[in-house]
Amino acid sequence: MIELDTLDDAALIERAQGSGPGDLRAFDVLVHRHKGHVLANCRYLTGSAEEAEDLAQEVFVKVYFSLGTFEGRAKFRTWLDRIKANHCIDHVRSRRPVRFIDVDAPEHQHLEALRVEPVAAGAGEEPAGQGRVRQVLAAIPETLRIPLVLRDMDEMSYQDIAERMEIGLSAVKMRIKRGRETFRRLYDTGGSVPVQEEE
Amino acid sequence: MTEGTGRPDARDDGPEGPAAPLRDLEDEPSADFAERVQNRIHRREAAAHVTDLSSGGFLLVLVEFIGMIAGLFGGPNKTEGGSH
Repeated sequence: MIELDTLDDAALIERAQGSGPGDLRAFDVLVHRHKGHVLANCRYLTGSAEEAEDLAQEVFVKVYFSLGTFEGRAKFRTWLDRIKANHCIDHVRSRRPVRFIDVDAPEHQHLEALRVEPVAAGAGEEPAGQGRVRQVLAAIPETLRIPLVLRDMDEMSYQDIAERMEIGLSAVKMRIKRGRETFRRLYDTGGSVPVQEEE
Repeated sequence: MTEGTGRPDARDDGPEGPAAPLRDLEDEPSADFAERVQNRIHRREAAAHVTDLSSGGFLLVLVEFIGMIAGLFGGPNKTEGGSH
């Protein structure tokens, strides 16, 4: 009897695809293996810790019912990330009307949505490691955070991000560049980085 | 859902590269996360099963109805043919 925990994703997928109805053992191992990553992604794509758990569960349900379409051309993680990104972006769009704008345009520099909050304000001591990453991400405005997360957490291509967000390729590259700059500066200093000071 | 093949434009990241700390970021889900996923899957499978049954039942009724209509129009001909 093979321990399912010892199998890699590809072998687990094969078993899950060949499992009878109601047999979720192989799929369950995949859920346990990737749930932390999916949950973190959902949280930072939507900006909501409260909604993230529900969204992450829905992502795995979608993955389960799409198992028959997975052909193994990409890694399971890549496929999972794509389903998750689509699900979360659809959720963000349905939650409220989203209008993507040019973050470099001078007329947009005063917008509240582009303001970067100081991440260390009020904190007694500076958090380390992932706690710090979470604080920094939460402080980055959505218009920069979503493409940054899609690129650097999900490793989506620029083209895919552009299509998913329905914006131009150059806008995607610019936002990711600015998102990274903002992330690094906040991560390194813990200080406030107003968007208008970028460039 | 298309699968894609990975990172075709990874070299476009430039000299600065990605924000590395993001790569391995994970959150701790609730203790019953996997159980709740399973429950959702079971519920959806059950709902699909019920839908199949209902649509199957509807199809059966439809076939019977069509058969009945066909019988109404086809029946007298047979009777006429039989009586002459």
